[in-house]
Amino acid sequence: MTDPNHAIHWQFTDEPDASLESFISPDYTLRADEELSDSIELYDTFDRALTQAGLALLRRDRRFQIAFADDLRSGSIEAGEAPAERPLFWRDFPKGDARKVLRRHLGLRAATSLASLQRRSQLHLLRNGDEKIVARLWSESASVPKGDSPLQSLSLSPLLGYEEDAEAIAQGLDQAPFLTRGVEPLGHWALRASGKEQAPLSPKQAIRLRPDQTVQEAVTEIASFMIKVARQYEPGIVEDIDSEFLHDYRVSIRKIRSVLSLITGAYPKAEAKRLKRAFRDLAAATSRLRDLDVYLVDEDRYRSLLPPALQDGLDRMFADFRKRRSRERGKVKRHFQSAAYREEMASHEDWFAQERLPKGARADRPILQIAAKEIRRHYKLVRRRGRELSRFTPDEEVHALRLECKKLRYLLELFSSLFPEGDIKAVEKKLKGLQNTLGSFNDAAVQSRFLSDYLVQAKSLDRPTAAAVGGVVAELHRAQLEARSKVARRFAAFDQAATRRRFHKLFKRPDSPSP
Amino acid sequence: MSVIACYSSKGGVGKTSAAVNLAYASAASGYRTLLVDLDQQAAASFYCRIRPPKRLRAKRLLGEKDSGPRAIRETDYPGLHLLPAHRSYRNFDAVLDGMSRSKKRLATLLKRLGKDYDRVILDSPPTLSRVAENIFQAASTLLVPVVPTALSTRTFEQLKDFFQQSGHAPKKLRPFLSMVDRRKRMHRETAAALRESEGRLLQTAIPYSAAVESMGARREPLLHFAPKHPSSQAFRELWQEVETL
Repeated sequence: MTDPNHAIHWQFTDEPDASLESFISPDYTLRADEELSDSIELYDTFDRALTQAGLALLRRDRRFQIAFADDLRSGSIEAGEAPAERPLFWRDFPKGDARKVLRRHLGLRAATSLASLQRRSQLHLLRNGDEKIVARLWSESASVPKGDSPLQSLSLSPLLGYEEDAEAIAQGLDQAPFLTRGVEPLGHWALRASGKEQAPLSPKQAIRLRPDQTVQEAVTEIASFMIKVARQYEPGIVEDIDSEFLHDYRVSIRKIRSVLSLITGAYPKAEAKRLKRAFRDLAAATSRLRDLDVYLVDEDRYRSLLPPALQDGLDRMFADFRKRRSRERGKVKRHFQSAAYREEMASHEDWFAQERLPKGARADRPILQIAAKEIRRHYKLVRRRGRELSRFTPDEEVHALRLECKKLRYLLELFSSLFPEGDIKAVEKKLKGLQNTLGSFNDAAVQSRFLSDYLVQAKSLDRPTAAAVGGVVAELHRAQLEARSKVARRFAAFDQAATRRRFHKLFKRPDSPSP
Repeated sequence: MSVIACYSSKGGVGKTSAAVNLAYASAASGYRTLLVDLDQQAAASFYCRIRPPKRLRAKRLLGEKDSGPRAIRETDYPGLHLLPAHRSYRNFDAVLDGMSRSKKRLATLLKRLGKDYDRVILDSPPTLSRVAENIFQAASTLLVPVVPTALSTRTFEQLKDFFQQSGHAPKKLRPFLSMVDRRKRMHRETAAALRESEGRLLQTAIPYSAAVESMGARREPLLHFAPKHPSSQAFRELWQEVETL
């Protein structure tokens, strides 16, 4: 894709009371050329992946294009035809450069239509004394359905080599009282006018806490935020737009559970217990669906673990998974649409929003102190478990190390705003290296178990399926052993002196003033 | 990216009108096309209504990195850009003489400029000189318009000899009949003779027409203001033939 050209834009901030021509130097002539009318749909994922990347996916009739978000008329690439009425994944587009771009930005998410706009444009051509076209001038009126007033703009594009002429013409147009330089990019305006410009909140966002907040204030803020984040995803889950809605919903719920478990004493024990159980049940209601999503998303990877001759043996298993997934999806949809669910979530929101929440043993302690204390505690546990590891350590103990790392990681994520950013990122990075290996170890074990269970449960198991699933289980076992063999090394990389010093510096006992 | 030159050692044979119309046809086919006007008379530039930038000079064009790219202009026709000529181009030979690698300078320049284009078409000056040698070096095909007269045939023979002697591949030379007036017996007879003797002659012949002449007054390619004219049809066929070479 070429870079956006040197287009100059104005907005009509008033009704024109004179012709554009009157502001153009007599060295140039202005003549109307073609008039265009089009209807454009703007697509993006729920988390605005394309907009964040400065791109726009546009649909006209059934043809899609990718353009730069800040100038829809600038160089664009054709993305081909794709169905108009449903969420679109990168695979729905024909092969080519556009598909590659979409794959990179959309990933597992689907793009849906966020806004539609109608655009009427009048092209004028500007010619110099030799009657050579030096620039194109587009006069445009864009509107969104049910929107307020249309966006009226002017855009001047020089032909290559005539940038100086365009600049001179632009200075003339600057004199028009009804024109103001600069206009909101059309895509952005359309999203805003349709009420869709806000990117949703993400569970990965760092919540900005203050060191002087109390434990209860901080925990409440985190929990309230995560409930809000989770609820954003409900419509997308019900409509089954893509697998990431449920994934992010579960991440948000998990963070609530983590903060309640890791930072005790914000609320009375009984309340904390009640809440933990409630959110645990909410998570459990969607576990099976999530599990199936994970296996289905990875279908190609599982097939690639087997030699070509055995791969077709997985067809039945995945067909079974798809059937199960369909049933689970129905259950989950009913769950989210039920009055019981809605009431429960509303009651949690209300509970956390109370003026005066019941207090636990540590409710009024400063969060910075308690967060640092818990981080120190779990860090010590990670180190102790890690140092005890050897090749002969039983798997259960490796899992225990994994769980400790997880707790430490959640603490670092939840409370990162209380500590210097650079240091936090550095320790998180080191921890991630260790966690990835432990995660691979665990994933392989879990998957192996899941697929072995399938083998046991599947009715009238045929030979090809048995061979294929057996093959995958064997590969997973190998992956598990491989990950296991790396654990000691990864722990050593985590446990370096530099990292220990950083932890000590960040989370030392607070006899000294706050960071 | 391929470089095609319209070349003739004589003027007035329809070289520039061919270059301009072939470039137009190329762009209209969807190729990003650069037409390079190397003739100090700047006829191709005139047809496109494009003046050279003030600072463009033969010496700078060959010597400075930015000079070429900065001089390129977009024509009024989608996909067609032009590098206009400047009157200092009459000094090309002198400039080249003073430079190292004097036979390859143009090839190097075009390779660099041509990166952004699918097709590059040269309108050459009607000389047999150092510039011409550069053009012979740089182009993969040389389209040579030949008016079917005895004198023009002789000129073409001389060109072939020159090619052979200076070690350029004769297969690069692709003559085509230009400004053919079927009312003239000499044209008819010479054309027939050339078709017999010259195996490399392209099939398509461009007829003489007042319409092509009027390009100078209209300052537009023929294919743009008279797309249905038989000469336009001939240029399009010529382009097709060149594409399939």
